[in-house]
Amino acid sequence: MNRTRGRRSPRTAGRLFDLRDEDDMRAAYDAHGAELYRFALRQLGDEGAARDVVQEVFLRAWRSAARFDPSIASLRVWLFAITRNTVVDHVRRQRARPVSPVPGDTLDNNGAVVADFSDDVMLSWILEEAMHRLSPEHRDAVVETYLRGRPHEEVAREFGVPAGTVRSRVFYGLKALRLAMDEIGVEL
Amino acid sequence: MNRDEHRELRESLGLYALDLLPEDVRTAVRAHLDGCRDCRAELAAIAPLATPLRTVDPARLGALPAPPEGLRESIVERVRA
Repeated sequence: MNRTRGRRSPRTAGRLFDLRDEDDMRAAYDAHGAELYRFALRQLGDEGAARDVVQEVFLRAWRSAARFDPSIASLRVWLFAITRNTVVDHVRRQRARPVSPVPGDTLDNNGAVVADFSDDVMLSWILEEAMHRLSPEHRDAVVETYLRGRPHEEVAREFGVPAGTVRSRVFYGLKALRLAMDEIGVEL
Repeated sequence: MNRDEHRELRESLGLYALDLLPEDVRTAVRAHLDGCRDCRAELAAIAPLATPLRTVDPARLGALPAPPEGLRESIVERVRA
């Protein structure tokens, strides 16, 4: 669904960032640095590598700041696209390192990382991030019924609410998830 | 159908999309969907979440890892250089 592709996220709406400006660079980092770091960490499984990638992302963004067009994609969508590329480049560099002190099986692991870097992984990670933005009530309703597979009547008894309340929390929880996905331009 | 009945059916669409409703309620929701364009649109928006949502590990939903301190200023330094 392309409908919301170009919509700016609420955090950056109404404000244009110019990454060539130091204060704007700081503001952009404050708005998106942490989630980009978590994304890189999820992909690479290594804190030092994730740190390097995020640094590289902002450097690349700074170099191409003139080409950034907020009418096409939000800053957040743009930075995520750069992060995906930077993670891929990072993994390729790791694999191509000629004199490698790592044993062969680690190279295989790196190969798996590349194979694993698919839209499915991205989608799953974004869903987890989006789950964090739900209210605890909505999140718990979705987690207990769907992810843990418990009957919603049982979940309702545990929460001390009517079964209909759990039903509606799952419904509004899913609607909020969908909105969170739309906000960053993820197609479902 | 009164407003409360409609609201109850509409709010069942989440469990319906996740295939978690008992058979009798599921049948009632399906019958309602045939005649309600608004509910079909609601369902179309949330139904695609069902499959990818399965890959979410509830154990990962605890604390979020934070980036290292000083990363922001280190980026600003690099840009300035």
